[in-house]
Amino acid sequence: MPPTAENLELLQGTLDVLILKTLSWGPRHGYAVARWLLDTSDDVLRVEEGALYPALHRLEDRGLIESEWGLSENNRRAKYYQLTRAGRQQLRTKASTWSRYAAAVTKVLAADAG
Amino acid sequence: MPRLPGVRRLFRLARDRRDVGAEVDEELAFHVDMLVHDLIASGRTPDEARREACERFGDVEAVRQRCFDISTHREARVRRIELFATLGHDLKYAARSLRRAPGFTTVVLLTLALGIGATTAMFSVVRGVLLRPLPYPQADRVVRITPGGPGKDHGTLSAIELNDWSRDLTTLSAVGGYRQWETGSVYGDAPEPIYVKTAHVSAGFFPALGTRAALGRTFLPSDTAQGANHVAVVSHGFWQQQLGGDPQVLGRTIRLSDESYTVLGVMPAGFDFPTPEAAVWLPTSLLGEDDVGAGRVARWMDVVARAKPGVTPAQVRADVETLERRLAESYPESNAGWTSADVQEVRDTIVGPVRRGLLVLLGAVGLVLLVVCVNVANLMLVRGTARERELSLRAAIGAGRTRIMRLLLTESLLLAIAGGMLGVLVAWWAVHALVALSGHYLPRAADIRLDGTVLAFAVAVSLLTGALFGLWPALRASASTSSAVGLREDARGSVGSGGANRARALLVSTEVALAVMLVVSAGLMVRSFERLTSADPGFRPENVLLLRFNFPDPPPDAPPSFRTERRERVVDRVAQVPGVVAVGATKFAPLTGHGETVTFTVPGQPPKPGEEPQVTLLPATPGYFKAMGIPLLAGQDIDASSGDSASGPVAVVSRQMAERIWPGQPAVGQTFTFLGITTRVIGVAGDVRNARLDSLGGLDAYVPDRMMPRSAMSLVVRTKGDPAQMANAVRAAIREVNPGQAFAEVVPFTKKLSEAASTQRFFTVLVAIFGALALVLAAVGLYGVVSYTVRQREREMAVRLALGAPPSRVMALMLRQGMMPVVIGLAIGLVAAVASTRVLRSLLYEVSASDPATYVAVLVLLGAVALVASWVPARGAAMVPPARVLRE
Repeated sequence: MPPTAENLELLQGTLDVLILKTLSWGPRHGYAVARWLLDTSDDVLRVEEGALYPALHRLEDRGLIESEWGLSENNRRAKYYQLTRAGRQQLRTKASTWSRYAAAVTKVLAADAG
Repeated sequence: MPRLPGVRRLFRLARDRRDVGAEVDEELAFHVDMLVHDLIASGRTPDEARREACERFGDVEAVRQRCFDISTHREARVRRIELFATLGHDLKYAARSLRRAPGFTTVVLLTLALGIGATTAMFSVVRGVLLRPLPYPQADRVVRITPGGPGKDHGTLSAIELNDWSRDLTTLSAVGGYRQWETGSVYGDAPEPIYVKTAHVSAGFFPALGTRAALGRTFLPSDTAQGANHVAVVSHGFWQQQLGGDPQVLGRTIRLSDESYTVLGVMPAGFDFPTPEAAVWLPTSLLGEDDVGAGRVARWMDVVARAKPGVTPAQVRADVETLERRLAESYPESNAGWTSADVQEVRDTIVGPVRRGLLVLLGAVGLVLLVVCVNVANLMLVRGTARERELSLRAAIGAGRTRIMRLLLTESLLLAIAGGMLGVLVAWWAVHALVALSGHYLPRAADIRLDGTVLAFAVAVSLLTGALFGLWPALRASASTSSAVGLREDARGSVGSGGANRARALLVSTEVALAVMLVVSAGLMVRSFERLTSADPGFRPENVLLLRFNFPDPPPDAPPSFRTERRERVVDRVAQVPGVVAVGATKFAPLTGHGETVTFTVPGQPPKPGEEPQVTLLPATPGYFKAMGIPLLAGQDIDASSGDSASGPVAVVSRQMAERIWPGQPAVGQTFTFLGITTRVIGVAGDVRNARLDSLGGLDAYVPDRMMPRSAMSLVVRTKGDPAQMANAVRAAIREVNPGQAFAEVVPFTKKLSEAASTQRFFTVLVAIFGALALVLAAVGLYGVVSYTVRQREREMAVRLALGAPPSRVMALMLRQGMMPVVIGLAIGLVAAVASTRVLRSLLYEVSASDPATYVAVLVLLGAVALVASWVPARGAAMVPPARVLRE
């Protein structure tokens, strides 16, 4: 799917930090993660499922999140992810790096010529 | 860095292996369903919703595969970490609990180290001697061929027939003939020339063995042609020690026994055919009629050959025998009767004589290892019972049966591995001791070492041992930890469970039975060895010095009497040395070589064809019988005039010859004829173990030295004092007559006698050690079990004592309980020993494998040891003041 104004394709690495942030409020299953990102970004950040699930598994493999099967709001078995200690720490570092990066980009883009 | 699985995971209840694929599928399906659900909620029809969801999801299969890969990888890693974590935990726990029982651990480790060490050492001997291939390319194709026939035991080949063989045999790719000389050739000059072992070899010798020279080359057909044949190939050892390892050695001239040879090549280290001492190889074409005789009658070559690929020894044998039968028809005067052949892989001819002995030793050490296992299992069982409470507690707080078993097995394996490491140290030391003990009489002793294979064997044995002694106690302990039983029983302070007692009794019986087998074997071997060494050799070796050397060849123009006169002068000169009581000479003194065996006829006793009697001829100087201490039973001794032209050919015969050839009549005055020489018997001497210590001589005849003046000489010197002290004086005296004389051997005869028994000594010492080990282990095991039972029943005994039972009664009770399994073990061991010691039969000398005295002695000994081992702790039980026990 080509990037449009409405759903920007997420930059490499950005998805990871967004997932970690999403999980910082507690365990969620994959669908809830995607849903929350879409809602919170006012429908701008639409996460492709093709990227979301591998990202979740990769984060689990790196020990940043862990998973457990539980019951969803509509009483179905769903796999819930939650942050580990390492994940929480990773989120802190990555979030601050990202904020500085975004601020810098914004500043450059907003600068007047001369 | 791999992270340990989350805490959550550790507490999660154990469940079956995760099915990663199913989990990924379920997770993705959930997502799609949720999406569809939401889309329907926002107004799509179900069909539209599903289509859109699938569209948004994209390539499900690709996503699934990526997730699956990541998770599978992670799952495997987590499992690995978990495994190591538990293993590490188990090991730590096992080490801690073993440290808390230092007595138990020490005894077990020592026992294991001895058992594994002895087994590993024995295995390295068997591997080095019996299993390791000889250092020839395709060594299994190298065979020794011994021609034979009815009544023929020379087993050698004439040079002419060797040519027939190499031309006509189709199963062989190379045939070599060789002859190694007993003493060898003199190398070097005064003051101390030495003998080096030389072998004369035919052109096919090196191709048959297949070994190339390390430097230069071996013989080509052109090297062995008459006139061009003063050439030599030398051994690596000779090159290093005598030629200084000279890299320019090729083409150098060496002098051996006053002849010059050009060095053509140096063999690689380890090439030691036909014997380990072989130093120089010379062409057979150097040997003339004077040396080996002429024609087809002159059989003097041993044969080594290389079979063609895929040809079995049996096929070679058939091939050889076909040819031999043809030759026997063509040349009946020389070849009649030589129609069979023995074909053996060359390794078997070298190690054959010790194979059975070594295998018996390996079997014996295996039994020792089994005793060790049983003993350790017993100790583990006792310890397991003592720990029943601890294990029950563990079971009560949720440790599963497999978990407890794993804990106990880890402990066993830890012990086995530690014991194995100590065992390798023991083996390292033991291998050196074994090689030293075997002297150079064990063939291929140089090939014995601890190498990778032996270490792998040690590891395997350790693990197997650990499993053997650990598994049963672990199974028992984990089975008896149904928590309630364990906790209750211990709280009541009563006897260990009946099952555990039976198990211990069974182990004791096994141990005793194994010990009986080993101690009986040891007893038989020791008795046999004692008989062998105390048997009368037929001569008195004390205070006798033996000197072996080759008499120098007479000068070309010397009269025929030259040799005899020279030899008489040597004997006379040595007799004048102060301290010398008697001197005599022969070709081969007892136990130093084989005499010359010829067929003979006796007047009035026509032989059956093919059954002509054979006599072994030995030259003897006057005084030989006196010097050697061989008794003269009848007639007269050989004296200075015996065998001269006046007396004619005469001989002193052995008692066996006298009794077998002229039964019931005096042998003195009779005649017999060999090689056309009619010889008069002038005396009868006692039988002598000339050839082997374990066989009393056969038909031997001593003829005056002048009748067969051979260059090989054994001079025996009887001295007043220590013969070793006389060596230098005697040597100097001989050199006065023969300047620059070299000596192959100068040794007190008692040492020679002891060397002759060295192989038997080797086997006997080892079997005795194994027997002693088994005995000690069985005693330790029994002591441990009885004292444990006593401790378990202390309270009961105290009650009995308090109620007035006499201490002797209490003791008898404990003794009976301890001795019951011993008696069963003795009975089983007896039967097993009768069955198994049959393998010893060929190793025993004048002792029957079912020698009743040995069996009785062993049963009494083992019974006594067992009685003491159970009496000591049992007495303890009866001596305990009951009040104290009951108060506790």
